Amino acid sequence: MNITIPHSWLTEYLKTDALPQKIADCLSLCGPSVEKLTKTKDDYLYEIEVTTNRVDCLSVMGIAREASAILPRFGFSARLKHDIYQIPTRNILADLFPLKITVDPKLCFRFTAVVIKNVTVKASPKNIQSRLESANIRSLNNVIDISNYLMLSYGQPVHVFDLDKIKSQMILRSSRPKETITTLDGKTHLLPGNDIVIADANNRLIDLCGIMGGLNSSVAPQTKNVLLFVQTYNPVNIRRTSMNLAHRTEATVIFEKSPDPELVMPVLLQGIALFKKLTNGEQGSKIIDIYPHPYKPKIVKTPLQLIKERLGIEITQPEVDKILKSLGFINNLVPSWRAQDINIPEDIVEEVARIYGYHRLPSQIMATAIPTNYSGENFHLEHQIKLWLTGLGLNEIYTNSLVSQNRPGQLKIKNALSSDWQYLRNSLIPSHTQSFPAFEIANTYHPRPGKLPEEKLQLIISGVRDFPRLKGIIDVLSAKLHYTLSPAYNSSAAVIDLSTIIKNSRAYPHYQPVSSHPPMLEDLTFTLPEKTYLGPIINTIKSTHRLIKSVQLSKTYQQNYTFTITYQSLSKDLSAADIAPIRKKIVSNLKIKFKADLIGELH
Amino acid sequence: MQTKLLNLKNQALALINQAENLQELKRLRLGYFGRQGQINQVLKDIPKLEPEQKKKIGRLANEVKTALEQSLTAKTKQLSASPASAWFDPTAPGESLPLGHLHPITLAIEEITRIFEHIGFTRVRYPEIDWDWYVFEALNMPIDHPARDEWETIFIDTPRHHRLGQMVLTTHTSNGQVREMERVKTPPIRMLNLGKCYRRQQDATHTIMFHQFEGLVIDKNISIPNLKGTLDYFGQEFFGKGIKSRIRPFHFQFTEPSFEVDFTCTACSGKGCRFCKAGWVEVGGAGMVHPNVLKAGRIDPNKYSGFAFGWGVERVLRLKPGLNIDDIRLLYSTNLEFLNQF
Repeated sequence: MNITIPHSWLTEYLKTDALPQKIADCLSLCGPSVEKLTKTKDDYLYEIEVTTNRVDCLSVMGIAREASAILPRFGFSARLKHDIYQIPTRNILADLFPLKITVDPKLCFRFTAVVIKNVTVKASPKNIQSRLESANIRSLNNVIDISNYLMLSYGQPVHVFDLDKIKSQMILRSSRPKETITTLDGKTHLLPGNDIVIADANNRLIDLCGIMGGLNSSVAPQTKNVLLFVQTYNPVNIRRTSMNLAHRTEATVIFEKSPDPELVMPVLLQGIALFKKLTNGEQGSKIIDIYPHPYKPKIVKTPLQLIKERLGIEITQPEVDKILKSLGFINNLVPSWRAQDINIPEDIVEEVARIYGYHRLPSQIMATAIPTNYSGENFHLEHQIKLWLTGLGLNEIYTNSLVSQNRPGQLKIKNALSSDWQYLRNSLIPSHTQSFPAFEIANTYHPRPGKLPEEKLQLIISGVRDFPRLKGIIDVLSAKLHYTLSPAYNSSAAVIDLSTIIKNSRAYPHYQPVSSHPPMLEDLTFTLPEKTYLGPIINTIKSTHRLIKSVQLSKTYQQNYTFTITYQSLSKDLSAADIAPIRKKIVSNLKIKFKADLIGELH
Repeated sequence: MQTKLLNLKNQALALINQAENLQELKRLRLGYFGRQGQINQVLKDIPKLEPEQKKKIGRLANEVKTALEQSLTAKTKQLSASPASAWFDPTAPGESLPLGHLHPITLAIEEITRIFEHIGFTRVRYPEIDWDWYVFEALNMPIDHPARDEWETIFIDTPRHHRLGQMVLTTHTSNGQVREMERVKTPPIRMLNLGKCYRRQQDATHTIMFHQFEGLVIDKNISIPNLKGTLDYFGQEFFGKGIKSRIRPFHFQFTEPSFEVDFTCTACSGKGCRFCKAGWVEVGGAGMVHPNVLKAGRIDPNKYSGFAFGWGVERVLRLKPGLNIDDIRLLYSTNLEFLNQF
């Protein structure tokens, strides 16, 4: 998630001599990445990418804290100012709390609230407005702006209710299916159940917690007394509700990532001060703080040896301690704002390594053993086939595994992006609609009950309209593979399973001795009955005798087919007398098996 | 007769070699191979020979014929092309021969494979349609984890497996990590998993089907410097001399620490230009394998450590000098004008 922070706001929390460009460079190398630095009229804007594990950095103060640890490593002075965690809790005695509060502790980890009375609702000062706008939040009025300003400053969402619109009681509970609530944006949600909500004494829902407040309790221009409201919730419920309702807000993004409950009270106190300053409102009740399981400092011990091994350098314990201290870790104690993110020694390794500087670590390919247990694939042959086919003038294409057409035996997509991609193809042929000769090696998918589908790697040669040419391509490929391919054909395409090729093909032929005796060639012409397959004829001729080296179809005219037969012996020059009986056999075989008649005389 | 044949051969070869034009070659051919040619003159005495000798001489005669034939053909070719004998125009257009093209994705895949095989990586192939367990859960991303939002997952409409969860189209080649650990069982592992992945998005820089390559190295004492070394090596080999790599902090659930990997921009050689960020371009993610992932693959994280990286093939292809393809949907469009350029 990206956040935008003006330089002037950052320096409210960070005292440094580094210029904005340097701050951006150093943060990117060792912390949250500054995606963009923009100069405005009298300021700079940092656009910063904060990763999902660093909810503590989704705020101006969070970024200032990171910068205060990182910048000194680059020779700049840097110090965190106005650390909200360091502000002591004041205990102002005030009136009793006007509402009866009931909280389900499984849903809400910390619940704080305080009444602010006699507020004056008006526009916020210009600098607050412009800061909110730099974060793409619209300024509404001083009361609402305070809640957003606190969230941007500290990374803790804050809500304000119009106190006078709440009927005597607040029950924080999980919603029942089909309850409804209309949120501040005017949208009415039908709740799926198990959403965190607050009901008042009339059992009206006044808050969809962690997502958005209810319209019925919202602050309006006439509002006099407000309830300042700061919580942390069970992140799983927040996330589910947000997903189920497809409703996400800045608050949701933070709440679903387990923000620090220790931050809640300091933010509430800051809120009281801001209300005084911007609305003239006064604290009108004691502070409610329901916090049944307060944070217990977490300990993660990390052996120095592990740090040395992972970083591949010699580093001393004092240096490690110094780095960790700059991030708020003291003697293996994890600071509360990092508690959800730091769990194992490897997490500490990351902290030390990034602040030390990844750019300062050496670069060295591992000198460990090379594995020799290969998988059963033959990627080399796949590529060789592709090279041969391009050599024959074919273009390789890649077509989508996802198809629009529903054919029997195809897997269906549950959440298709478009009707073009609803099924997983079980044949490559429908994808090859192009008009030029092409090929592809890709998977087809064949469902198997209870198991993953079979992913069958197939070769398709397509777009070859002239069938003898297509057959010729297959013949060349067969010759190269030393294995006669038998593809499935249609009029312009041939499809073969790669697994058959890999199993049967040979990298080298069975070598045949080269004959020093001249071959003898002769043409035999037969009249064949209509619709006689030529393949079996050629095979029959070929297998008549071992002296027949090759048989080729050399001429066709109507139903007459001329075959050129090559005879050759390894051991002698063949004479007419050697050939005559073989020829006789060919003629009789074809007559019996195919009703083929020789044209001309036998001699 | 044997001597006669050999002499004939030597003499003929010499004459052929000295021939200066095609007419002369033609005369020579007739002189040796014609009906009344010298070869036939010698061979007409064969029937008078002993059977044993007959066989021997017959074979020799064949060899002589072949040798002369080859020599004549070669010389004919040479003289035909010689500018001395004819007008020779090297600017005349060539014959149009069939010309096919490998797809750019194949070119990139082959190059990536070659680069990693050099340093001992084993290429593997794992399912494109896989269980949620291998795609997410074993990678330290439990159901409902917000990190899953990063992947626009496509689900298959089939019943879920009681243990392995939903069937999905794999969103990354990282599903090969735990599968490779299961296959190899005991490290060392140096895996290159390269294949098709799918995410629910389609625009000028994303296609619903795309390709990734995933490196996984597991052994004793694998360190961040080992990852950096591998990245620098890849950068030099794939993008060219002088290209450096850089890692920056990032977050993935299945690595700890996690990195974003940048390479020197090839368009400006690191000076900074409109294609890059201050001389660097982001290529993808990497990290040290999270102990939970090793555990999911039944490898003891106290004994072994590792690193992994997974990047888009389309992404690295587009970063090649001269290949800044503005709309990657072209790759999967069977556009001949595009394909013919490769």
